[in-house]
Amino acid sequence: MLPRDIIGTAWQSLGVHRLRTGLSILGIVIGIASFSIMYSVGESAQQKTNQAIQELGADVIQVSPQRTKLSDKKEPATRGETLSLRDIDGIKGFCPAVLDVSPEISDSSDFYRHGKKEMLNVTGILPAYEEMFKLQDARGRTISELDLESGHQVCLLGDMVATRIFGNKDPLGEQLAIKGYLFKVIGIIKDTGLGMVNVKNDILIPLPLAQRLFQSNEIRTLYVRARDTNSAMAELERYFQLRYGDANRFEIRSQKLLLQTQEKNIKIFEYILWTIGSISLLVGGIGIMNIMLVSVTERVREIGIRRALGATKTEIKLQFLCESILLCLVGAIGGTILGFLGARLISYLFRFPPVFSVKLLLIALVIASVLGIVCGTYPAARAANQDPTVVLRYE
Amino acid sequence: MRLTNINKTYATGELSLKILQDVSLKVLEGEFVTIMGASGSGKTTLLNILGCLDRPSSGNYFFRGQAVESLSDKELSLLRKRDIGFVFQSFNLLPRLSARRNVELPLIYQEIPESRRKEIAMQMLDRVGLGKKTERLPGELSGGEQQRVAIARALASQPALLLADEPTGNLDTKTGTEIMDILRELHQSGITIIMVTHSPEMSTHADRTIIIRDGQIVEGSG
Ligand SMILES: Nc1ncnc2c1ncn2[C@@H]1O[C@H](COP(=O)(O)OP(=O)(O)O)[C@@H](O)[C@H]1O
Ligand SMILES: [Mg+2]
Repeated sequence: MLPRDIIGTAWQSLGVHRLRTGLSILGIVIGIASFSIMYSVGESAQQKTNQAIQELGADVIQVSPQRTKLSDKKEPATRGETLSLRDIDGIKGFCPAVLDVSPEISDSSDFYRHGKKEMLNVTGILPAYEEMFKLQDARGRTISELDLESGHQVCLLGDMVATRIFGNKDPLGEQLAIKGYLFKVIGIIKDTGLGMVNVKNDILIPLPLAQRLFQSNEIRTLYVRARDTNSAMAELERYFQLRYGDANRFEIRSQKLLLQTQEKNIKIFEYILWTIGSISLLVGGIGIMNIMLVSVTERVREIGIRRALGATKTEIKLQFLCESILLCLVGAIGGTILGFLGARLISYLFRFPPVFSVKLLLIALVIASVLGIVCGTYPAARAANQDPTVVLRYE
Repeated sequence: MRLTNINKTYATGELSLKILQDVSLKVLEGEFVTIMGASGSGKTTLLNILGCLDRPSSGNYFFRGQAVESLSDKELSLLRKRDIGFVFQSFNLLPRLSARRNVELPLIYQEIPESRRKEIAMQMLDRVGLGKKTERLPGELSGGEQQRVAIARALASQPALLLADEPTGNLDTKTGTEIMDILRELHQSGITIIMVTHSPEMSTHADRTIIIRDGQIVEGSG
């Protein structure tokens, strides 16, 4: 029998009981879909982490006072536990593993649009901040040392808040009222979406101006760029221990460690999918074997006819094996499509860049073929060993 | 074709049923032989053995000089597809394949390419008078027409031997006669035919009639 006839015959047979065939491959479809989602999500999470680490260069460590009262977010824990600008030079002097320190203070400002009040996030920064988070100045320029020294009332807008305020109008050079003061928009920024800060919705202004506007010298957060994460964290802890007497009152979090935690969570998700996938494939495989055995029993006469017309046992065996493989392949293709859609949904929900590859499809097809062979061998052998004399017996 | 002392027993539980006992038989090339006998006398069993679908429990069977007992499954399949054509009482067409595709079946197992297969199938269907209904499914054909398709299928590989098990058993007398006419024509063109039948009328066309009773040949072993 020619290979194409074996495949053709097998394909025709599958078309006979469409619904039954469809149901029997469901397990395979779900199994393969789980595996492809797992692969896609795992791969893109990995890519995201790698990209983040690469783009940010040195690690960034965030230091902020612990909040004891969860209800009042604005209020720091107790007096004397806030950070101050003096800590910047203190840390720089005390910790050799620290490259740079950037403070941040933030508050909100009212904004009226169409008579409705909205809130804007306003953050006071130093130029080090822009460098640290690799803020991409989409348009215009960034805040410079000169702006600080001369007390220029300038601001940078996150790309999203820029459209929120100015719509289609070009914001560059426009004036914006913040807490009653007019600021000139000098640049539009986009963040990479990878770092610890998200500036899409932020308005950045020079730190000294922010302190005056918010009438507070209190630093909410310090960002520290580290040469080496572990030694920088150890040094920071020692610094806070000596300076404030208790390092535990400050939260010290590394960006890299955060990313790694995130990756770990994704790993757990992957294991769950792996388990679902394996169980589905196992159940699916049993389903295929079952449906093939049913098919053999139903087609004893067909087998006899083919044998009488000259089919060898091997040819009968190949025909049934081929049916089983085709079933699994159809399941694998269905599963890959379902997995593709699932991965898209997840990447949309969790903001991963979606990853798809031909490799994935090939792996699915190989798994399916192996499964088809494993599950089809026994039914195929049963088919081949059917007694062909049934055809001459009148039913 | 020569059978000597063929025995066939079926083991059913502890009991072993002797279906054929010491059957010896000779059929010459080009002969038209009918086998008659009561129901359950072992005619189909004998035909299965003659058609290499089944092996005798003991005894020797020479098919065109070849000792069949010693052949492998593959060699038996080769014999069936090259030299033997089957026609059954219940037609045994594959219901999902068109008449033409049914006729093509034995050619598939001979690895004949598709275009050539189609050509042969059309020719064979034409020969049994179904040239216009080649794309019909078996269910869309009458019993007589289905049996014609079955004959066309049996002829597709141009066999030396045609085995027919009560080919007219499911048909009315008129269509039965038409089928018989086709078989007679085939015989005249040189094919050896062994046919099981119930009706003595049908066997009048034969060169020779074998009568079998309780697994033994009582007349006409040749
Ligand atoms: N596979 C089998 N197992 C047991 N008994 C069988 C088997 N096949 C046929 N028989 C028995 O062998 C006898 C002869 O059957 P068969 O050759 O079909 O007779 P016929 O074709 O002359 O009617 C019957 O009694 C039948 O029940
Ligand atoms: Mg019979």
